[in-house]
This record gives sequence, structure tokens and C-alpha cells, in this order.
Amino acid sequence: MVTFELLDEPDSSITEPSTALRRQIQHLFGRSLHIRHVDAGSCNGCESEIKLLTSPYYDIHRLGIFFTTTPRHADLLLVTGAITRAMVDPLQRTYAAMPEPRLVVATGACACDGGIFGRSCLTLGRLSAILPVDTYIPGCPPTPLALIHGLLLTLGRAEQRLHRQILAHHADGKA
Amino acid sequence: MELGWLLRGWRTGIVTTPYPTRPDPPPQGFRGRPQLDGERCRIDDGCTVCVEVCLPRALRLETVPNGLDRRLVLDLLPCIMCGLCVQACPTGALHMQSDGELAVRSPQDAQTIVPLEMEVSSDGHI
Amino acid sequence: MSVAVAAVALWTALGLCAAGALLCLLVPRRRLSIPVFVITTMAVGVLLIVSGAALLAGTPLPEFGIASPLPFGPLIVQPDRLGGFFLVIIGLVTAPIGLYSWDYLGGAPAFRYLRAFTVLWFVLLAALILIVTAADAVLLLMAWEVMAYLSYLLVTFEHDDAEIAHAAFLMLAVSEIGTFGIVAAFLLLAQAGGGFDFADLRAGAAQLSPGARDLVFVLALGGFGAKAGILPLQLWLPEAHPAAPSNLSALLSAVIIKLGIYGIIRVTFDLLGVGPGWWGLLLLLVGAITAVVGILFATVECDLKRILAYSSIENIGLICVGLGAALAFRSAALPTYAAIVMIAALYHVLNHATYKTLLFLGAGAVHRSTGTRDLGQLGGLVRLMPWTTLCFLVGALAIAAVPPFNGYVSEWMLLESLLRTSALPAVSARMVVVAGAAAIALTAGIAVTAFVRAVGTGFLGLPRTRAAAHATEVGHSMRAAMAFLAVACFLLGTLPTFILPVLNQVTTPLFGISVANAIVPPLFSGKAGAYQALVGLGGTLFRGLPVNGLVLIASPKFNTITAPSYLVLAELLLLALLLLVLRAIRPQGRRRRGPVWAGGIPTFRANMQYTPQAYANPIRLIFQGIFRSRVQYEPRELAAHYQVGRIVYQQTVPPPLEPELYRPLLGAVSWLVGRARVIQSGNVNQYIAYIFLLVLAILIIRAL
Ligand code: SF4
Ligand code: SF4
Ligand code: SF4
Repeated sequence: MVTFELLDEPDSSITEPSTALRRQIQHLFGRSLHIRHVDAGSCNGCESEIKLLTSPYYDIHRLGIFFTTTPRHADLLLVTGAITRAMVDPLQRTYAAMPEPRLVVATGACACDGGIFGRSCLTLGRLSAILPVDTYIPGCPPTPLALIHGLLLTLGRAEQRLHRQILAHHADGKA
Repeated sequence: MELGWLLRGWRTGIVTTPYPTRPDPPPQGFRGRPQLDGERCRIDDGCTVCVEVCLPRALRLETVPNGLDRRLVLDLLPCIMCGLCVQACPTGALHMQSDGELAVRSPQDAQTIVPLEMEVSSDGHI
Repeated sequence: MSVAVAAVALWTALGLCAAGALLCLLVPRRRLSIPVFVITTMAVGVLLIVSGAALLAGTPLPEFGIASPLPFGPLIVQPDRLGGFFLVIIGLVTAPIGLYSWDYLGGAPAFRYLRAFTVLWFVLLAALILIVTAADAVLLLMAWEVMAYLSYLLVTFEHDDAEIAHAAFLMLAVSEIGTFGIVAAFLLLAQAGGGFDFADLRAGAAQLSPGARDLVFVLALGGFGAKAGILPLQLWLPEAHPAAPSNLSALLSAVIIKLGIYGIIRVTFDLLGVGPGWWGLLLLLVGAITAVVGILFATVECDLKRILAYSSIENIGLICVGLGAALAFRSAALPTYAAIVMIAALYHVLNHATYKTLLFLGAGAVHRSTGTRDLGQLGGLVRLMPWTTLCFLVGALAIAAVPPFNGYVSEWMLLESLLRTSALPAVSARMVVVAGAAAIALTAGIAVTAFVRAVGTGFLGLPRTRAAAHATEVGHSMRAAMAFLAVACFLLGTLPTFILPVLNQVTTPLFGISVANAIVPPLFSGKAGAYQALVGLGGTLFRGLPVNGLVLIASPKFNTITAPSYLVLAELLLLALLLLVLRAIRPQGRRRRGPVWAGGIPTFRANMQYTPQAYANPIRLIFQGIFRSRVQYEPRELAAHYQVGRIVYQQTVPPPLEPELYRPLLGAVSWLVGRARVIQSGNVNQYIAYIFLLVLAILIIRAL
């Protein structure tokens, strides 16, 4: 059985897959991806958006992306919610049940970094505390288009738009 | 009956979004994400209005690892896109953008940072 | 030489049966009677194998008459090769059963009525031997009835509960109905032939009119078929087999129902002579339906022994398909095909005897160790009873016709020889035979499901009840008996080229043609002759081995070959290849061991496993037209509308034909009996009046 240490701070060595692994993932999952979704204490806002992904309008099946019921068949773990302590164990079991290579996506403000719930005695406040996260999809809830972008980004089929910005001081600063 | 169904499909045409191939612009007035304009922000002058209104602490003041300098961080990961900060900002340094492609691979990429060098007085107070 | 060996062995076996019965009657202590029982039974088994083998190798024994006070002349014992073949089967089954009984009878819980069981057992064995060695209808019928009544008594032993008494009574009733048919058939033949020994009966058959011969055929088929368990007389089988103690149910299923097959072969192939084509087609159709229905019910049944009983019905069906095809080919003057398909059917008889004994002994071991036979309460036995599980698995693979075990060879031969139907002249006959072949294919497919289910839910996974969790491996003698049979299954499956020529000995006198060289071509002796073309297929490859490896079913249009002995090598090679390929495509060999996926909850519980009912549900739904299962569903609602306190879900599958045939039949009989009761008042005066009226009527008739 695979066990995970509860990491207080995200360890960038596990949060960031190597380039080689990324290439392998794109090669393996580029055109066919199966998702297992786990609700780890979400308000269900994210779920209602995720559900829309299979509607005729968004229709992610056209992109070769499918939802599956068992982690044994899944390539990607899509997690929503603020990671309540009760869900830590099931989440880790789900992850352990997935075949490798496997991807993890944190969906919504809650799973990304706590959202309105944050860290508390009941929640861990972010998915990266227990699992290596490949992609973060912020938003509360993220729109279906944002979800599609996030999934395609994970597969290397879309570009990342946001980048770390360090803004310069305004003109009359102490340069 | 099947024919009617076919006809209906034909008349309806394609409803699916063209999204990954072509952009699918959001509707008017869509609140995407807050965007910080470093030129107009008055953080240097002690303004912390946005930090105070932000519930999930997506806007926060952080101490830089050197222990002295501080910085204003807009972190989109916990941001719930509520727009309170935009309304609160006295200088209009914040506004909402409508783009939706926010996913990032690394948490750092979701951050916008305004560094802030404090003038430290001799007795150690600001 | 072989004649002497056969005779001595046979009579010693019979003598041992008598001695065993006597000793068991006299031995005062349980501790002593079990060794006596075991040793004598095993000795009888071995002697029977020796005697049968000698008979198969040589000529029939000389006739041996036993003086009898009955007005039918002396009772004649004269086993021929067919009888010898069945002697081998009886021996092959009883020897391991004897060994098995050491721990089975001796272990806790104590076996009640031990003395009566052991004594009657030996009498039953003697009756079985006499049935297959009798050359005389009277002796055969007497032994037959002894067998019927003794098996009734032995089945009722282990418990006193009403269900078992009912099961045993049902068995006896069906058997007696069958006996009517058998007696009628023999009487018709004997009347024409002027005597009861088989030679007279053969002569009688030649003189009978075609209509009378048809009648004899149908009567014998129904009569012996009732014992064999062909539809629609299969009712008793799934009731009686689970009721009996396991060593007896093995004997019931492996030998006693086969004696029904023996009777059918004896009458239709030996005594009656060549008949019209529809005989074979009738037998084939009945067999095909029996096979399909049998295996379907085996798939949905949950009681381990009832599963085996239904699968016995299925196998009897397969054998009947073979016999029917043999009859049809013989009527069409195609003795070669008839002999080949007959050999296949006999091989199946032999195979079924071995693997079904094995499975029943395995089921008995499970029952002994867990106290239950319900698949829904078993599970996880593979860790607790590894030997039993392994042996049962071998039996299951054999019965599911998976090479390299023996079921594969005979089912393959049956199927292949049925496909030679294009040689039959009548198109309608061809279609019936092909339908039989299709039924066999369907049966083989469903049999895999049935036995995957039996092994998977019964032996693998987690124990479903405390009883199953506390199971312990059974004693050495039971394990040894099962291991012996498992090895027999393997050898019969891998060395058919040794067995087929022996079976050919049985069919040669029946069809007047030897097909040994056709089925097992002598590729290695350099005299390949007509099969020269096959040498290139691999004959030369294995020239180093002194064995004829190929089993061939030839026809003018196409030949089909299988090589079970090489199949083992091929399977091993494929396995090695598979491992190599796996190595190659996963070079890093990274492997992760994880817990069983249980929906995320911490422990995987036994009640989360696939249940036997659920596993069979697709089959039950697809064949609902045959099962006619009834589902009863009642949620018991509590006060609040949403709260359901208890849900009753009950699903019953009535036994085949029960609602369609037996219910109305029983209803009609009890209606008739009710009417007839009017004349039975219990009043003596009234009965005297009946007698008076009868006498008066006779006097009047005489006077007229
Ligand atoms: S991110 Fe927002 S919508 Fe999603 S679960 Fe959290 S609170 Fe609900
Ligand atoms: S409220 Fe506006 S001006 Fe003040 S710190 Fe925030 S962004 Fe800068
Ligand atoms: S939009 Fe709301 S959550 Fe986001 S930074 Fe502004 S106040 Fe904070």
C-alpha cells in the first residue's frame, strides 16, 4: 500500500512533474483520458460545473476525455473541495488505486488553496498538502471552459496563459 | 418519428462550443479575475483596503524571506472572483478581467506581486 | 490369460463385496468398521479396474449361469467389453471413494447409522457389478431394483429431515416409473425371442415388427433415461444428490446415472440392432435439450452439490447427443462415423465419472469443513483449504472443457464428429445433428460461466460467513483421494491416444468396424499410409517420442486434428512467451502493490463481493424464458414515507419443467385418486357387497 506523508508545505519536487514525464503523459493520454472525480468537501458548485462538461454544449467527449467510475480505469484524478480531514484517507486510497502514470488536478479555489474555507481543524485547505498536483484550475467555481482549458493544459494540448508577475513600482517610487 | 428527430437535429445545427479551436468569449459583464495595476496601487502609502476586504486572503501582505521587505500578493488560487477588492480600491488599481483560461501548473504562476521596500526607522518601527 | 485374470478379478470383487458386507455387519466397533469399509471398497475398486481392463483387452468371458428358483431359467453372468468398460468406471470411482471415506466417515461430526451404511454399501456395489455383467434380462432387472432400493435407503441416511426423505422418495418414484418402461421393453423382446438371456432378446428383436421395435426403443429410452436423468425425468437428480452423503452422491452421479446410459447402449446398440434414423435424432434432440437446460440451471443454482447435480444432467445430455448421433450414423450405414462418435461419447462417460467424482468429493470436503454448501455463505477457502481448492479447480477446469484436462478431449471429439453430419443423406437429419452440435457448443460456453462462478464465489475472495472463515483443511485420506482423481483428469486429458484404442475395443463389436487407426493415426511407426500428408504437420517433429500424438477426425472433405499431449507443451511455451513479452513491454518492471479498491472506504468487506446470485443474473435474465423465475419484492414502509424498514427481495427459480409438467400431472393424479376414493368407504359390509356383486357378474357372464 502506498502511503503519503502529510506535507505541510507543498514540495515542489513532487508537485512538478519532470519534462520527461510530461512528454510521456502527453504521448499516452493526449487523445484519450479517463477521469475519476472525487469530491473532498466541496460546496457542489464545482460539481455543477463539472457536470456541464458532458452536456451537448461543452461535450468533452469530442476531445477524447471521459469520466469513469473506478480509479482502476482512471488516468486523472479531479479533486474538488477543501480536502476535509475525513476525505483524506479515501482520497489517498483512490490515488493508490490508480495505475501509473497518473495525473492530479485541483479544481476550484477550495482544492487549489482553501478558497472561502481555508485551513481549519476540519480541512487541510489544499490538495497539494497530500497529493502531487499537476494542474490547478482556480475559480469559484471554475467555468466549464476554464475546466476544459485546465484539462487540456494538463495534457499539453493548451498553453498556460497566466504567469508569475512581479510588478514594477509606480513611477515616483524610490528607485 | 426518427425522421422528425433527424430534421430537428438538422435545423438546430451545431450547438457545441468551438472552444479549444476558436475562442468562446464570455457573456457581457462576466466577472473573470481581478487584475492588479502596479502603477496605480498606493500600497507604498500604507493603503491596505483590498487586503482587508478579501475574504479568502487572496490579496495579502507577505514578508519576503529576507525578513525585512514585504510585498503585496494577489494570489488567484484561493481567489473566489468576488470583486469586493475592485469596489474597495480607492485608486482604481484593481479591475476585473473577463478571461477564463486561468489554469496553471505551478502555484507561483497564479501570483501577481508588488514588492514593497519599507522605510525602517531607527527604532525598528515603520 | 486375460480371460482368466478378468474372471478371477471379477469374482474376487464380488466375493469381497459379500465379505465386506458381512464383516461390517459383525464388527462391533466403529473404529474397526471404518478400516474394513475403506480397505474392502478400495480392493473392490482395484479388482474391478483390473477385471475391466482385462476384458477390454481380450475376448468376452465364458457364460456363467447361476441356478435360480425362478421360472426364467438360470441367471447368466457374462461380461463383454461394454460391461468391462463400465466395470473400469465403477472401479475408478469406488477406489478413491473408499480412500476418501476413511476421514469422511471417521471424522467429526460422527456419521450416524454407520453400520447400516457400510453393509448396504457393499450390497449396492455388488448390484452395480451385476448390472453391467449380466447377460440376462432377469438378473439385470433384479440387480437394477436392488440398486434402486438401496440407493433410496442410503440417500435417506444422513438426516431425518422431511426434505431429504422427500428427495429420496422422489428418486425412488422416478426410478420405479422408469422400471416399468424397462420391464415392458424386455418383456416385448423376450416374448418374441422366447427367453430372457441376451441372445434370446437379440433374436426376438430381429423378429419384431418395426412398430414394436420402435415401442421397445421408446420404452427403453424412457426407462433407462429416468435413471440417467434425461429430460423430462431429471426431477429427482438435483434433489437426491445434495441429500446423500458426499461419498454416495459421488457414486450416484458418477456411476449410477451412467448405468442408465449403459442400459440405453445395451438395448439400442446391442439388443435391438439397426433401427430407423429417427431413433438417433430423437435421442440426440432429447440429449441436446437436457444438456442446455441442465447447464443453465447449474449456472443459477447456489447449492454447491445441486450445481454439480445439474451439471450431471448436462453431461448426461452431452453423452446422449453422442449416442444419438451414433445411432443416426449407424442407421445411415456410416459405421465409421458412428464408431467415432460413440467413442467420443464413451470417453465422455469416462471423463465425467472422474471429474464429477472429484467435484463431489471436493464439495463434500467443503461441506464437512464449513457445514454449508451454499455458495453465498462460502468464499476465501483458497487460503484455508488450499488442497481442496486446487483439486476442485482441476475438476472445474476439466468439466468446463479447458485443456489440458479431460473434458476438453471428449467434448472436442463430440463436436468435431457431429460436424461430419454432412455425410448423412437426409437434409432434415443433418439439420437436427447440427442443432445438437450447436447445443453442445452453447453448453460448453455456459459451463465455463457456471464453474467460474462456483470456484470464484465459493473458493476465492473473502469468507462470507464465520463458518467459512473457520474452515480447516480436510484430512489426508480425503485429500489423497481428490488428488488421485485430479491426476486422473490430467492424464485422461493429455494421453487420449492411449485411451482411444481401448475404447475402440468396446465399439468394434457394436459396429463391426475398428477405427483405432483412423482416430489415432500411426504416424510414428512409419506406416502412416493414408495419413502421410499429416506427417509433415508435426509427425516428424516428435519422432523421438514413441507416442502417437495426434487425434484425428477424418472425413472425405476435411480432417480436424488435435494433439492434447502436445497441447501441454504448447501451453507451457505460450506461458513462457507471455512472461517474456510482459518483461519486454515493461522493462523497468515497476510494480506497485495496493489495497483492493473498495470505493474508498477503509476495509474491503465480504459483503461487498460479487454474490453468486449477482454473477448468475445476466444468464438468468437472458434465459428468463427457460427459467421462469419469480421475483417477490416488498419494501416494508415505516411511518414516515421515506423510511423503509426492511426490504424483502426474494427470487425463486422453480426446477425445470416443474410448473409446466409435474404440477399439472400431480394435480391430475390426485384428482383421479380423489374420484377413486368414492368406492373406498372403509365399511366391511360394503366390501363384501362388492365381492358378492363381482361373483354374481362372473356367474352371469359364464352363464351367457
Ligand atoms: S471552489 Fe467555490 S464552488 Fe468550488 S467547491 Fe469551493 S466554494 Fe464551492
Ligand atoms: S486597495 Fe488598491 S491601491 Fe490600495 S493596496 Fe489595494 S490595490 Fe493598492
Ligand atoms: S476578487 Fe474577491 S477573492 Fe479575489 S482578490 Fe478580490 S476580494 Fe479577494
